[in-house]
Order: sequence, then C-alpha cells, then structure tokens
Amino acid sequence: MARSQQTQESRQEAAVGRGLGRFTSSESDKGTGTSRRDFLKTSSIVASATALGTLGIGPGVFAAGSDIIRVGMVGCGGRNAGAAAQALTADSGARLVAMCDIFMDRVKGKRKILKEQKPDQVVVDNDHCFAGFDGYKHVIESSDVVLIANAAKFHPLHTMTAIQAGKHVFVEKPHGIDPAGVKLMQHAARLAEQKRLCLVSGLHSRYHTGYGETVKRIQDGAIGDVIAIEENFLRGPYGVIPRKEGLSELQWQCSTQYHFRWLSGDDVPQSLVHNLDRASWVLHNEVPVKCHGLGGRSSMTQPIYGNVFDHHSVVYELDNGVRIYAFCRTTTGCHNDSSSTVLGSKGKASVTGCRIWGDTNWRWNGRCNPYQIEHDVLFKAIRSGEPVNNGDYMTRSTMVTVMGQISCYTGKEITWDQINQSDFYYPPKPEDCHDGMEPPVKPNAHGIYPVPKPGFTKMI
Amino acid sequence: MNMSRTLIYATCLAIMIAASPAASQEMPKKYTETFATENGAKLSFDVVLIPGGTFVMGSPESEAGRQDHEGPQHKVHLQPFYLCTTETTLELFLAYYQETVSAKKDFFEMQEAKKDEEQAGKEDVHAITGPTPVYGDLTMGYEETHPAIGMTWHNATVFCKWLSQKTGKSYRLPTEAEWEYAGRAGTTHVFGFGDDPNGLVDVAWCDDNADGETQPVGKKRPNAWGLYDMLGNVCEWVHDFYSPTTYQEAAKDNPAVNPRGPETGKVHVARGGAYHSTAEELRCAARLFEEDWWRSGDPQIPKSKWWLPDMDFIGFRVARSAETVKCAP
Repeated sequence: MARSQQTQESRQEAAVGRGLGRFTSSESDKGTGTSRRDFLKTSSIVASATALGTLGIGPGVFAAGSDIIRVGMVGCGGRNAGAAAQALTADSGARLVAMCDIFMDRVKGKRKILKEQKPDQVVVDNDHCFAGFDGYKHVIESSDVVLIANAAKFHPLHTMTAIQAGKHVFVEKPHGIDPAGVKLMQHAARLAEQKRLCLVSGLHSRYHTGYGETVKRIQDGAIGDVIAIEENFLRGPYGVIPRKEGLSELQWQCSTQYHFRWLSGDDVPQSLVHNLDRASWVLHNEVPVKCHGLGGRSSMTQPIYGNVFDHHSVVYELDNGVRIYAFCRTTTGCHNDSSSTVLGSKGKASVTGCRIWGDTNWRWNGRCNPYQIEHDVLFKAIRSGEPVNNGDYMTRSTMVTVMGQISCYTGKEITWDQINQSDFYYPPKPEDCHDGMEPPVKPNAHGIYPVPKPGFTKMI
Repeated sequence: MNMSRTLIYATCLAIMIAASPAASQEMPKKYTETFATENGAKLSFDVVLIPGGTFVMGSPESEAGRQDHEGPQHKVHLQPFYLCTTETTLELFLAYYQETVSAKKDFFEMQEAKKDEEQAGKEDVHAITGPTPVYGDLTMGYEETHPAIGMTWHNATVFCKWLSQKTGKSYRLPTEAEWEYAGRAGTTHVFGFGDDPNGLVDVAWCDDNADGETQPVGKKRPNAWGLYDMLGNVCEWVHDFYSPTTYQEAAKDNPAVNPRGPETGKVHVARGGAYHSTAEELRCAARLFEEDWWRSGDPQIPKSKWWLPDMDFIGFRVARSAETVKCAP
C-alpha cells in the first residue's frame, strides 16, 4: 500500500546563484562543460577546498543546549520554510538569523510566517534579508548552519561554498541536476568529511523508520533474492503560478523554476530521486551499469509549463541482472501512483507501504516524521561534535537520476561510466548566473520554449 | 447580475415556503443521488432521512475510556436531516478532484474564461476553486471503493460545495451533534448496537479486523438507521470547530437546539474512529480533533490548505438539511 503523498502548493523554490553571465546561447549549442577554463575553475574550487580542509577547520563547538546556533536559509520557498521550522524545532538553541531568495517578497513573506510560528527563535533583521543571485554568500557568512532548498541547479555550488566557509549544511534533493553539478557535490561531501562538518540530505526516505525496517527485512532475505524493483511517482503537475506583470523573462523562469530544466533538471532528478534512492538503498547502494529512458510532453505543452517533459520512464540494469523500472509523470486526469515495489524470488515488498508479502507477511504500523528526524539528527550531531554526512548516498542516487534524465532527453542508452566521465552541465554554470543576465532559454514567437528531441539532442 | 440574483432569491423564497413543515413530511425516507461527471460517468450514493428528535449527547463519567471533553452529558434537539449511508468514496472524491483541481487549466485560459464570465455577468458561477494538485497519489494506493482520505477539513467542505453544484441540493458536513445522534441511532449504548466491544468487529473496521488499512465502504452491518461504517474505517470530519468546553456551553440550554459548536476555533472535530482504532476510540461519544502531527507528512510552510499527506485515516460523509432549502447568499 503506497502511502507517500506530499503537497506541492508553494513548492516554488527560487533560484539563487552568482557570477558573471557568460552563456547566453540556447542549450543546443552550448559546450559540454569540459573547456580548459571550466576545468580550471572546478579544479580551483576543489583545490582551495582541500587546502582549507587540511587547515583543520572543524565545526564550531556548541555546548549542548546552551550555545546559540545560527541558522540561515538559502531559498525561501515552501520547502525551506518547512526545513527552517524543523531546524528550530530540533534545537531550542537554534536561531534563524539570515534569509535569501531571488525575490525579496518571498524572504519577507516567509520571515513573517516563521516569526509567527517561532517568535523567540526567528531573529532575522532587515539587514539579513537578501535578494538576488548573490544573496547566498551573505547568508553563509552569517550562519553556523545553512539550509539550502532553492533551484537544484545551485545546490552543489551553495553547499560547496558553505562547507568551504566551515558551515554545516542541510540541502534538499536533488543534489545536482547534471554530471558537473553532482561531481561538485561529491567534492563538497568529501570536504565536509575532512573538515568534520555535517552534511544532511533532504532525501527523507533514509530517515523514515518504517522504510528502514522494511529495507532491512528485504536485505535480510524476507522476499528471497531481489529480482526487480518498480518505482512510480505519477501525479499532478507542479503548481502553475500567474506571471506577474513587470517580471523579466529571467525572473519569470526563476519564479517557476520547476518548469525550466536549466534550473530544476526536470522530473527524474526532482521526483524519481526519492524512488531511486529507495531502490539504491534496497540494493545495498549498488549502481546500475546502464539505463535507457523514454520521455516527452503530452498535455503540459502550454508556455506556462516551460521546457520540461511531463512523463518519463527509465529502465536501469545492474551488473547482477536486477532491473529497476522507474516511471514519473506530472499530468492531470491520469492515473496517479506513488510507490516503491520490490519483487523478490520469494515474495514482494512495498517500501513506501512498509509492507512485506513473503513466507511471513509483515507490516510496520508506526508513524514517523522523517522531515523532523533529519533535523533532529543534524542538530544532535552538531551538538555532540560527531558529524553526520549523507554525501555518499545522496550524490550516488542523484547521479542515477541524472543518468536517467539524460537518457530520456537524448534517447540513447547511457552507461554509468559514461555519466561519470561526463562534465556536461546545463548552461550557464551556476557560478556564472547573475541578476539581470539573459536567461539561457527563450520562448519562440508563439511563446513556446524549445524542448529536447530524443534521437537528435546531444548532451553527453 | 443583480437581476439574476433577485430572481434566485425570489425562487428560493418560494421554495422555502413550499418546503415548510407540511412539505417536509413528504420528504423521502431515503433516496439515491445520481449525477454525471464532466466525462459523462454516472455516479451515485445513498442517502437516508434521519428523523428529528432529542437525545443525550456525551458520555457518563462511568463509561470506560471516557475523556473529560465528552461531558457533561446534555440534551440536544435536532431537526431532521439527511445523511449519506456511507463514507465519501475515493470514486466520488477523484471525480471532484479531476473537475476542480486548480492547476487543471492553463492560467491564461482561466483568466480569459474569467473575463468572459464577468462580461456575461455571471462571475459567481463555476467559481469553485478546487484543491492544488497532490504531490503524489491522493488514493494512497487504495481502490476507488474505499473511503476518500487525507483531505483537510477545508477540502472536504469544498467537495460539499462541488457536490451541491452537481446535484442541485445543498450538501454539507454533518454537525458534531448530528453525527453522534446518527451514530447512536436511537440508542444510549456505548457503541450504538450495545455496550460489549466484542460486537464491534461485525459493524466496524478497526484494530481487530482491518489489517492496518482502510476497507471498502458499506461492507459491515449498518446501524439501526441504515448507516454503514459510522464507527471505524476512517474518522469523519464534522462541521464543528473543536473546543474542550463545547458541551459545557451547549449544556446551558436544555435542550441545546441544533448546536453547531464554537463560532471560531483552530481545528475541527473528526468522529467515529478509524481502521486502527481500539474499542475505546470507537465509542459513539469519543471525540477526536485535528492535531499538529496530522500535518507532519507535509514538509512545507505554509502547510497545504488542501491535503494531509499520508493521513489515510481521515475522511468524511455528507449530510443535507431536510426541512429548509438553503440558498447561497
């Protein structure tokens, strides 16, 4: 029985970034991200990060319950406001001190709501409300813990910047939208480990007690050998919002970022990352050797839906022959399903239903709030000085989704080696994004944005 | 627009006069409501007339499992009303969702349509703004014969509006008093049918027999008034705001006539217990109300106005006033 359902109104997480606008071309003629300049840039980030790490800058030392822990929000959509409330609930010594978003009205709006809920813990003055692509730098500067939930394009850069600055991080999924981004997140995770900083992922399944119990039983042989896994995330579209008058094309795209792939990475990384993270967990984090995907747009074709696909299916194959069949769809009026079903030689299991049918049937009947547990674990780790780092699975599961997404876009089979050797990214690079730049995609005369053509589009 | 409103008021007045006491006696004892969806599918549900009368609401201090807010016991007088024999099914709720989901139409199309309607002077028609799309699956994997689940109280009331528009009859949530009166079905027993919890498995899907999930509606024995699953399966939203002192207020009148709970409040009452409930929670007098954790499956702020993600134990059934024809102002 599937029991996974979340809401999406107000999932309008904004894009935040910085840098110089270098790419103004459309995606089809952009490079693969392997230019010498880019390589040097990435390398220098990694090198400087490593250098900092060796200096032995560790996490701030916080006495249990007494010292104040300063929390900052990068992104002021509904999800990060939720994360902030969970952080403040997790630790009575936590104080929200700084917030940023592309849009100041979102910053102020969320500050007001959070202040109502946690009046003593929300202490963000006007000088610590930041708008625009550069705001994240100021938030990181002001905080001990940085909560990052904005356009996923920026998750790796903002995480890396925070870790470099010696800050603990909670970051929402997906942990990158392209191979270059996921690799940067991998570097950030390794650096966090060296610096003994916490890095907690918003892949909440791993913090769900019932899912954990179910996965453990599957791994202990409750359904025999795992043969295949079916993953579904079929649901309604991400909310569409009216285009306010006066918004530039760039601002418009940022305000509805789920509908633009250069910001969100589309629905395989955005949604199926939860499913594929559970599948990966069941399979002891073993990676697929290759995948092939199908995708396109059926009903979400109007301009307001930007340039993402509305349905995807990806088949992954592991070295041992196990296959993962993964489906996602964001349409209205179609069958909905949110489930993770594991088929075994001696039974089957529903991870999201916390249920096993085998020689012995079993189900978990508890309830838990994994969103809260994530933050409980994070703050406990900060207080105890024993860092928690989810870097390993969070980057692997995200790379699995990026591989699937690119297979859907290109129509080609993609191997694990290929995706890991690629430095492809959706231009512009996150560090090159800045206020007032030209957006990398533009509508045609009919308002329609170009979408990938499987079989013709090249990405890696 | 003014002309048409005046016409509506005049028509309503005429109907109200026609439907005054003499006419109400001609109200059918039960009927099957049938209506068509936009797709042309025929949907139906059964409704029974609950006779007006007076009953004792709440539980005596001697009742096992009683909580303070179930008292004091007090007399309540109710007008007759209609109540659906079953909990609202996923089949009905999915039809509502498909027809009203707010992201259904392109925003610009919606704006155009609104302009057209304004020009035609009928801006208040077809104006039901339904739920935002579920981030997941609103059925949570259950079949359509199972009760609708995981909706906020607000969402349930918008369903009633939609249903009223589809059927031309004013459906609404029952009040808390109506719910308990219907649950007791003319008895004073703890569980309606009797006082022995061993009989629960025959009338209710509960901790002992539901296998940890909801079950298709209408499969257990109905109560004396023909109502299925009043106890167990899913908790049912009622009209009233929750207050621990609701009954103390109501008891000031003897009897309280058609009580509707506090005028303001933060959360609403849900009655009847669910598939995971124990006998104590399935008592006709047991009161449940929305708690913070009902929204814990929603990781966002602000929380959804429409959905209680993962909460598959909360549903509702619809009621309708029998004596008067209500007109929207």
